[in-house]
Amino acid sequence: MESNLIWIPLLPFLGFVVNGLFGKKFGPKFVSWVGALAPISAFFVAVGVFLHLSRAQGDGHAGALHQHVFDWIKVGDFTASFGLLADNLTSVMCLVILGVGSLIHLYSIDYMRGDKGYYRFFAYLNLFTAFMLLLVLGDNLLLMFVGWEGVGLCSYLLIGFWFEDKANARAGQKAFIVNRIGDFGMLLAIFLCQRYFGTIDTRAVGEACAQGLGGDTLLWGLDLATWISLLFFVGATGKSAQIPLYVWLPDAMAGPTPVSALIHAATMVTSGVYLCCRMMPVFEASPITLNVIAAVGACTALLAALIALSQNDIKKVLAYSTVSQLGYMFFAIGMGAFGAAFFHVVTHAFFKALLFLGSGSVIHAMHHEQDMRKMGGLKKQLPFTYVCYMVGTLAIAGVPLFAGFFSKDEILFAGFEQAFGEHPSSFAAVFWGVSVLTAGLTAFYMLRSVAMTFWGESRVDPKLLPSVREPGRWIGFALFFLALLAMFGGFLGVPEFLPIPFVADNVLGEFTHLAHGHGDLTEAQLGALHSREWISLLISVFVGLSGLGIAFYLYGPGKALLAKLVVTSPSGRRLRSWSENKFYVDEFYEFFVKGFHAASHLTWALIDQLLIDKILVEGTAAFTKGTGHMFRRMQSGFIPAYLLTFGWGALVLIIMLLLKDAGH
Amino acid sequence: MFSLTACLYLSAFLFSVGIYGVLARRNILVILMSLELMLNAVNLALVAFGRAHAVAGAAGEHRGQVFAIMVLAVAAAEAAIGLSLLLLIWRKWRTIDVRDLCRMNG
Amino acid sequence: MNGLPILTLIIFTPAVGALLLSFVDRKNESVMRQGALMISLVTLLLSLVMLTSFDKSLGSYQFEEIQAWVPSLGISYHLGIDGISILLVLLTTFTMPLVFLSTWKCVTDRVKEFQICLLLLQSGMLGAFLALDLIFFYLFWEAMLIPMYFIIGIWGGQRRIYAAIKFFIYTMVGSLLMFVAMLWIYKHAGTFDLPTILASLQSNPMAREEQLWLFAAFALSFAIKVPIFPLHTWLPDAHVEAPTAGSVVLAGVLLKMGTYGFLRFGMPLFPDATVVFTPWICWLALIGIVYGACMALVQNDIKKLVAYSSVSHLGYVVLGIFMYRQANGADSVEGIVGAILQMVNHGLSTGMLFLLIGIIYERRHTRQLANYGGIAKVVPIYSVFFIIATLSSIGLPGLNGFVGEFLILLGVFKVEPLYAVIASTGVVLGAVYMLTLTRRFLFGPLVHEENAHIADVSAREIVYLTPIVVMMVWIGLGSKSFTDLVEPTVIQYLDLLR
Repeated sequence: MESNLIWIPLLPFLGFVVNGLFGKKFGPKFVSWVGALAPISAFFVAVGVFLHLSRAQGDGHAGALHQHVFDWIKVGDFTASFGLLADNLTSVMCLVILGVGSLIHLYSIDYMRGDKGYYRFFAYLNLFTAFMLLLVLGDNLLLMFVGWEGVGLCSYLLIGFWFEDKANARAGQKAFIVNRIGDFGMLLAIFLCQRYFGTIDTRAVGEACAQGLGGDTLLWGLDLATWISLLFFVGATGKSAQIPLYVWLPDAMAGPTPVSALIHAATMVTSGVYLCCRMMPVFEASPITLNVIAAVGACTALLAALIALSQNDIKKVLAYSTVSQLGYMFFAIGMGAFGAAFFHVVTHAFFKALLFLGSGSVIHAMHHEQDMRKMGGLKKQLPFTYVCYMVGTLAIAGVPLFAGFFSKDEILFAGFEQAFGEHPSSFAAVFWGVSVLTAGLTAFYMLRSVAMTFWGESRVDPKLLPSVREPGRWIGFALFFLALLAMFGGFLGVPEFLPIPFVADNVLGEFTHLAHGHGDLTEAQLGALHSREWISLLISVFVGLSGLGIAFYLYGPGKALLAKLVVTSPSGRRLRSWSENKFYVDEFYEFFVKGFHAASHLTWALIDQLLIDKILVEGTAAFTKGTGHMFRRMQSGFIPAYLLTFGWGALVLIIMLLLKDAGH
Repeated sequence: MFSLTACLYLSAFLFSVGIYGVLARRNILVILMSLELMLNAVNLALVAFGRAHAVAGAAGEHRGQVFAIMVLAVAAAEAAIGLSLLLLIWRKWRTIDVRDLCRMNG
Repeated sequence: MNGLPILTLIIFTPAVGALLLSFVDRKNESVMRQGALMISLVTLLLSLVMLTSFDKSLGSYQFEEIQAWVPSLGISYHLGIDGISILLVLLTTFTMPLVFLSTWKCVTDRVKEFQICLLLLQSGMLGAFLALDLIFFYLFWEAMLIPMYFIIGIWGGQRRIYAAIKFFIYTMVGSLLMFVAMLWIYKHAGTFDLPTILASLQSNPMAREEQLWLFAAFALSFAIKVPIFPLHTWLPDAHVEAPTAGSVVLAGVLLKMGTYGFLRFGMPLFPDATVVFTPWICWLALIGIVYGACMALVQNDIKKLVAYSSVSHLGYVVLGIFMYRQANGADSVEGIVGAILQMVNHGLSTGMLFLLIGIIYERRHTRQLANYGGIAKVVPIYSVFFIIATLSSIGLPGLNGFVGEFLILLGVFKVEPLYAVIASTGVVLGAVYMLTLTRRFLFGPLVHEENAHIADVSAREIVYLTPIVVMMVWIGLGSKSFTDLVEPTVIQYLDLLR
């Protein structure tokens, strides 16, 4: 089993090579086969790995598979091998990536049909899958970093897939650069690990922190573990689109919709959360970092949800929703609930991929129209898509028994426990409040998007309307499977106190070792815990349902949608305009970018061109030239004159010599 | 019948004639000849010194003479190059007057 | 090597080839082109033969050749190769065939002289990398200058004379001072032979004051060549005006001469002075990293942009070279090994970028970014190559640039974390300017009608671009086989600096 690990990333990579080199020649049929079979075959390898690990788990000796492929970098006392490590957490992540990924590959066969860059698209998608798996499987931080930047590259290439549009190319570039800023932090974290722990092996670093080796104060009163984890988190804010680096994700919607589903919803953007789970001991060693993460996560969740309220582009709504949900996951990590965060990664991958693919189906049917104001009433034309999209909406809104319900509840409970549990904390209470509010907003804006797209009067261009119909069978196939996952995926993490028949408690959390059990609690403590869990559950269900309810009241059937002003008070209107303009964050950043450009230009003109080149360099030349001009008169070209000078010179020399001799 | 002083006087005279010729004449050919005259004046002085100061049998007994022959060889080379340049100049510009050959001024 | 003077063969094969080519009739251009290519291939082959018997576990000079030349002045013909020079020699012999191949279509004027100049340049570069005698090094160092001067001055662009003279005088100013310093060393040590001098310095070190001046003289010469801020302004001009082949050699190999000089001569000869100067040079390098990146950001001429990126990239190399010792006295091997690797990486990535710019210039005769945009649709294969070169240049993990950059930063971080943090911002800025270049150059709508019919890369062009890509991936993934060549030497070398 061990030597099979390499096939997991290698198969998609081979798909990339074959499609990249020969795809153009052999045509779309060949490309589809290669492109889809690559992740599917890797999926089966991953299933094998998963089964192996779960058997081992069942036998009571939970372990990890490790494959050392080759020595990658080895200089001095620094070693980074190309080694793959599959433990339980990893194997689940691989299954999610490859499962959802395979479905999205299949979906793309229909979605991208007829595109000029068909082979290019599948090649990139395969390459992305390979890098994503490398990120997940890498046994050391540097190899993870290869995957980390590699997925960024693919994201860049895929966002700018239709590069003939200036905006798309710009969006791709923005994504890459913003991610690079995050990677800067990641890189520094790796340096710190190497310098102070002497290793970058993920397990070794984790153990070092777990043993409290990160406790030395390093700089500004913060200890080593805090610095390392904070820098990791800087990397995570880039990749997982958190404040302040979230701005690239909404722009990334410029890419084809399957890309948005795979990269910008299900897998790549969650890699920040995965990193936190992977390096859990490092984060757990630093309460400061956890607080920072909680605050950033909750704020991001709220901000993005507020922006999503007023977006009219269907993909933009989903993009901000993704940012918001990622904020949720980080909030969970900040609350120390790594298991809940990872659980939400999994369920979010299901329902958000479903939502994106559903929106893609709409967009495809609508001939690449994304503005919801030009949709409406599509329920009739696209009934299947509608059902699937609705399932996704209910899942994300946290309607009981759908996937999002369980994971979101677990997160909110983690916050609740910190805020009002045995050791109440007002800090946690504030951010718990924020995330509960966000839950309501989430339900609201999602149902709003359903209403604007599928309900009410049709606002579709009448010329277009007859041609709007359900797209091909692969699209339907992928939607169907994802809808099933979004409906039942939540049963992977049923909390202990909910008596749901035939389903074991907290499967995922136990399997991934991210959840802390309640084994050491007394009966009374357990009872109190369960009652708190019930309260939290009821609150979250109530909030989610009321969000849906308000949206239904405002946008539901029979309401004239666009005429209605949701808010009438001046401050409300201001909020709405801020939300529509995304709180002017992009403009704020743009100001700095422009300033930096201008400053660079000025420096170039003043220092490089003027000071160094004109004044110093050419000044020296001019000085030399001027001096030369003074003396050029002597160069008359008349040979006897030269000879005379020469003669005089010789005479002077002789006289000097004689005088010197006379002196002695 | 050897007198160093006489030789040196002759040498100085020839040298002065050479200098005059080099500085005052306009014809390159004459200038070259004057140059040869100067070189040979020096040769004369060298030989004379060599004769006057040589110690029979000691190392470097004929140093002055050897040096003079060396100068002769260099002078021959110089004359060869100088004359060939002169020839080329004549072919190109039909003049060997230094007053006309001052194009390489600054 | 069975007494075969392999290093002499490597150095002089191109020069002898140049001599042979000088007998070929100038009208016979194809013979000239193929001949030069063959000669460079033979040189490459020789260097590979040398590599096969290079013992990578040794840290000392190998294949040494020593022959008294002017014994009375202590000048000898002394060649040797070790881990510091081997990668650079291989880089040179690897680059030149590609360069020759790239000139087939674009140089049509005075083909004979051009090929001969390039061959002589190659001999000069190889000699400078292999010489272990100060005078010989100096001879080769200056000998490189002359063909390069002609290459820029004769086959260059509009302002070629200005650029050639600027290049020549800049470099000359530095090397003259270096020559004076060499004479001073001779006065002190009585020989020009580097290993002998180093051995005698162990027992009889130079006075500190003396070292400072001498190091300054050497450093000026090397710093101009690197170039270190603020001595860099010759580079953009030289690059912009040089023909493609000139730019490739200049960026690919010549710039490394400066950093190599620091490693081979500047630092071991004057260890005390090195310690004194280190903070100054490092800050200049840091400024160069950020400054070069900012300058690259605002350029409109593609070649100028890449030239400024070189300033930024070489800043890393300089930083890596000088950050070799931690405060507690422990060595930081990573920095120097990374720097040596990064010299090769920069040669590959920037060389490839210049080759690519040359290809497009051949077709469109402009280097202004504003004249392009959206050509990825017209020239897809070209775009793939360009993007790979870009990614290598910005240090994407998995390609060569990353390994070098990472090792340097890691080494620097061990010694002086603040420097590493500042230098890491260059990683971000690097992505900014290179991706902006790619976007404005390749992506977006096709605005200019003239660009609609550019021919994609030809088979010949693919032939000389592909080896570079292969090397990029190889170094990126199999860096160990390269660093293994370097490391033992560096470990031994660092002892020398104590």
